[in-house]
Amino acid sequence: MDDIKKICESSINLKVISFFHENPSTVDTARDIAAWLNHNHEEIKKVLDYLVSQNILIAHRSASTIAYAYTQGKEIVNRVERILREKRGEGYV
Amino acid sequence: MKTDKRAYQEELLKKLSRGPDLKKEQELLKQLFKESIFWLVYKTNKDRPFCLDDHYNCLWAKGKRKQECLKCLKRVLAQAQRSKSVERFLCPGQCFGLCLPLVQGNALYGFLILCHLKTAASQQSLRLFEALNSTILEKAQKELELSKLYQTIRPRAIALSTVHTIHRLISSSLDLDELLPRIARLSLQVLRAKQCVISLVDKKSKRLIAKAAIDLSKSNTKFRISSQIKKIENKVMRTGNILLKQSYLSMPLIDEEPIGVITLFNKITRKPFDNFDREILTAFSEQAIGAIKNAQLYKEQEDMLLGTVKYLTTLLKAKSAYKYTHSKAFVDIVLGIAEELRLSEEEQRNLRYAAMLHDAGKIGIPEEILRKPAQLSGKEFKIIKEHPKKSAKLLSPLARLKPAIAVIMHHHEKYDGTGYPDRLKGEKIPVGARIMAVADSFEAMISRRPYRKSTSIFEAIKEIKRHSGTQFDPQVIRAFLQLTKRKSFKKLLKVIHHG
Repeated sequence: MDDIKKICESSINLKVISFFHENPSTVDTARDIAAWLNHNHEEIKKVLDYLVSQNILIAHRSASTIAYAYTQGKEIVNRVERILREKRGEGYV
Repeated sequence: MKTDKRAYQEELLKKLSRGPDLKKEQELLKQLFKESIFWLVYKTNKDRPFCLDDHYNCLWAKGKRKQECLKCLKRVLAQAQRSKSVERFLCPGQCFGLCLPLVQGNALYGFLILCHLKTAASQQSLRLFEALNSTILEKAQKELELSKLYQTIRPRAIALSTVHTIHRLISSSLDLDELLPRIARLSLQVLRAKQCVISLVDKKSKRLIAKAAIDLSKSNTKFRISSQIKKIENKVMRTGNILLKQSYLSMPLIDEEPIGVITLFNKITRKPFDNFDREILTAFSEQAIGAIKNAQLYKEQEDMLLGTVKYLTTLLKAKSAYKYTHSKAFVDIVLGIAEELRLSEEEQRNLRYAAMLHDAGKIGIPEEILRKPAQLSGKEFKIIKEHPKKSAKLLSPLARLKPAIAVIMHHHEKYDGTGYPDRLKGEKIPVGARIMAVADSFEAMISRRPYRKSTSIFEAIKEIKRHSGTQFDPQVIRAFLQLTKRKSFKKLLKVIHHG
């Protein structure tokens, strides 16, 4: 697993992580998340899959759909909270 | 209410001060009145002004003069508040200034001050100043209202989208063993809780049986159901009421009658469960009930179909007691190969039916041919070769068996296209049929027949390998060879040998 701070250096990664951190109960498809973030679907899909591989997101899969949700891991959530607070201070979020 | 009004005022002025329009106005005014100082002031919080330009850059307002300057400004602000129109003033440093209240109807939001002017502003420029500010204020208000609307609607729209996605996730599964853990995990996700138990009413005993139990705080996610949990579930089931406590939320799953209970424990945030969680779980449960009922109904239908298939198999066995009947292990070998090839559950289910019924058409073949204790003549074999088509015709009224019928129809095709009935070749033969061809031949070789001895396992495997790419699909053979390495394979062989 890469360092979360390093992951958050990419603006698109940060945008997706912020979205889930602010809406932790969300369970949604890549297409819908791309719509919420007003971003290209393919690019968001890649980011979502990468964040799943990094255990920051969880993928709920069915035969026809993959839905993404925020991790339930307390450590990761706390770490993200600290990073986002720092970023807010710097005016990035 | 007062706090709301003040918060709105603060937000509006913040928006105004950060927006580009006021900055443009400032630049314009600086061009009109050179060396002017422009700033935005709160109506009620004069000691915390939003300075767009530092007022105290004013060379005159240094040291003791600063207090004099502030006193003058306070007086002007009070006048402007009363008059709600532009106030012109002359500051103690003998500079001209303007104070424009930001007014909309009866509401006063703040003031714009322009000072350090060398000459007094004309009436014309005052009107221009007033009109410009009114437009900027209106625009900022509209933007603020839009952003407030966005902030209110967005979380609800996101929540609605989640409800829709969850519906898609849980309505796509008809397998209860897959569906219930999925519902449990999704409910934990949406309610941000640690543990979830779903128990369903057993139709025979009428008792609650735990079907899914997940504990996210444990690495293996296994959740041990204590007697305390059972008590909670039984109480909810008995009363039909939701139980909302600090550390758990338990809800009955009621369709026309109670079908089960879902209980969640311990919020990740360590906060107690509240009425909002209750509302969310109610909406979630309604979807879950529909999905569970569908899956239960589907299982009942599948069980009925399996019963019919078993009955047909028994009939077939009774008719051909000595010849061409398969052992119970045949189905297991077919499914074992399918597992090795990672076929989907649905494909495996259909393959099971196909394996059980592939010789159903033999019912229409004369008994003396089926029971003949010697090798068949060419004419007899020709009749036997009709059985795949006969099987397909016999089973065609059962619509649910349609995918299995395609497999049954082609299980005697050969990979090189020399088989029957349609001489299909390679990938054109359904994968299930290619699997059954290998399993059928293997079982036939190692089984005793009245007219020949059985072949050894080693020889049978060797023979299967020899026909790779001609009679059989090489990929299926690889999967079959993998299957023969399993411990359970020896048990299957015993079943075949013992008939």
